Amino acid sequence: MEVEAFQRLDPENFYRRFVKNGVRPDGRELRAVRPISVDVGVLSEERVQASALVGLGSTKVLAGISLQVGHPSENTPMCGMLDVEVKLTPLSSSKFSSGRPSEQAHVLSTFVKNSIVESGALVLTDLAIDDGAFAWKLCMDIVCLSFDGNLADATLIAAMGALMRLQLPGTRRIDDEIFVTEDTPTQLVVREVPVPLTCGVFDGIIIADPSLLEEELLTTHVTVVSTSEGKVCGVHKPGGSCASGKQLNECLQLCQQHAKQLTQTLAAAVRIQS
Amino acid sequence: MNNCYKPLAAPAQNDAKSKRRDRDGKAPNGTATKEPSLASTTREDGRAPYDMRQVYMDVGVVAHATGSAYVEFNHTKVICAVYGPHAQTGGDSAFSEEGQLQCDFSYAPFAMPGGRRETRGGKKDDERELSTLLRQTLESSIQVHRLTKSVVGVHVMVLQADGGELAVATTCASMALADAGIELYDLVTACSVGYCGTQMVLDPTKEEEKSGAGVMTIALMPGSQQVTQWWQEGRFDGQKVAEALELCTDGCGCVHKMMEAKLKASTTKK
Repeated sequence: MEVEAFQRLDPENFYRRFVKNGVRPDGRELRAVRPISVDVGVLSEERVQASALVGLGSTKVLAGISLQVGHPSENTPMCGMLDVEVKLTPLSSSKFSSGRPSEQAHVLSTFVKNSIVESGALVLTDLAIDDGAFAWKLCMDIVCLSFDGNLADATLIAAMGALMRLQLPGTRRIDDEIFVTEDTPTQLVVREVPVPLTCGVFDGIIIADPSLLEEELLTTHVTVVSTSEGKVCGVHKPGGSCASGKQLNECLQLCQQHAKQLTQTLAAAVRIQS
Repeated sequence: MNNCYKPLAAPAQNDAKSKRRDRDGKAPNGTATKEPSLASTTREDGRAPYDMRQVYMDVGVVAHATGSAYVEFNHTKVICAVYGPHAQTGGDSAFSEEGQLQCDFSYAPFAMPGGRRETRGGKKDDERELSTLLRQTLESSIQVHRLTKSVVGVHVMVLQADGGELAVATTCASMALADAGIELYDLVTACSVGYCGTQMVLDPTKEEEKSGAGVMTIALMPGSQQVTQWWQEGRFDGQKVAEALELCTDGCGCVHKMMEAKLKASTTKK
């Protein structure tokens, strides 16, 4: 049978034959991650405060941060806010539709926001202006430009890239309103660099960084977020089949190994631009 | 946090009293009052009046699309993906023997300089209008009789808007259609010209579009020199229209050469 016809008619057995031999249809080893490219400051910074374009193989996402100011709410004095919105456009894949954000988009937005805030990468009190009378609100929009699987990793890496690039402009208060000044902007302090790795399980075998083709065949997947020092800041396993403790342990270790390399890539990308 | 707003540039220290809110994000007293000097031969960004911006083009940028393209005119950046042709599924359009084109034009939330764009409530009026304009522009370049009973979906997203979005989107979409292997009569290229009272400027930026009296966007099939769309906002002096049209046509010719070269290179690469 023709290879393409086989793949189309019986994708599961097609894939199984590859995995048995320790390779994947795109030529990767089972635990290899696709090449990651990070470019920060790709959009003109007169318009959007910080931006980052991340390519994970042929999955591409673009993150942009725009700034707003407001009064901190009474429950959280001194605290600014991070608002993340992931947009899965019909442009990037025929699987997404226009109109209201899908459930998947909401899940990704929450995942990115929690990974950044709960890991302590961004401390919300750092966003206070004028001793807490005002605070910055970071509006982070992440747009998927090309979808080829593993959006969780791509969105969080892009978010971190943009965040590490972000500079908060100088401010002056006039009456009861904040204005931005020409003063030298201050670099936002990013205290941790949480980076993700998604692994999938197929026939009990762990596969790192699944592509779109693979995502449809995997029985479950696990996303682990970790820092370069190996601190685990989040694990996300959304249902699917059961994974054994041993498998989860393996995922944790893979992520910790991957994190070292990835944080270096991010730091290098930010350094080149500044 | 409620009632958040985009902070404006601080007014100069000495006239703090004259602060006023300007929602365009322009400095209240700074750049807004600075008239571009029309007599001088160079523009704000250093171009001569008849110079185009720096152009970058690429095709095949979206992994699983039938065809895709990315076009950048300096700070105006547009990406487009084409899906199809696939069968008509009923939906909102009536059945047609001939092929149909569905265009979806959208702005990224961070595309505009005026701060974040609200995208929760679905398509905005301007996006709807631009979708229609884009469809009309491209439709006549497609050999619809070859696409019986099917639909081609064109998705355009403006990642950053700095003037001439419709023109850049048209060029980008036409390249994506060609990349998708849809049978066309010709590529469609578009170009805009701004009119600032005395001086005609080719390929205006957003700032120039706003300060000028009018903007004309022409979409053209260069092979047959046929105009598929003429879109004009604001005023042009009657006798200047012909001159503007000619300028647009020249601009389209330049863009067409680049498109052709890029598409040829992409086919040999495969």
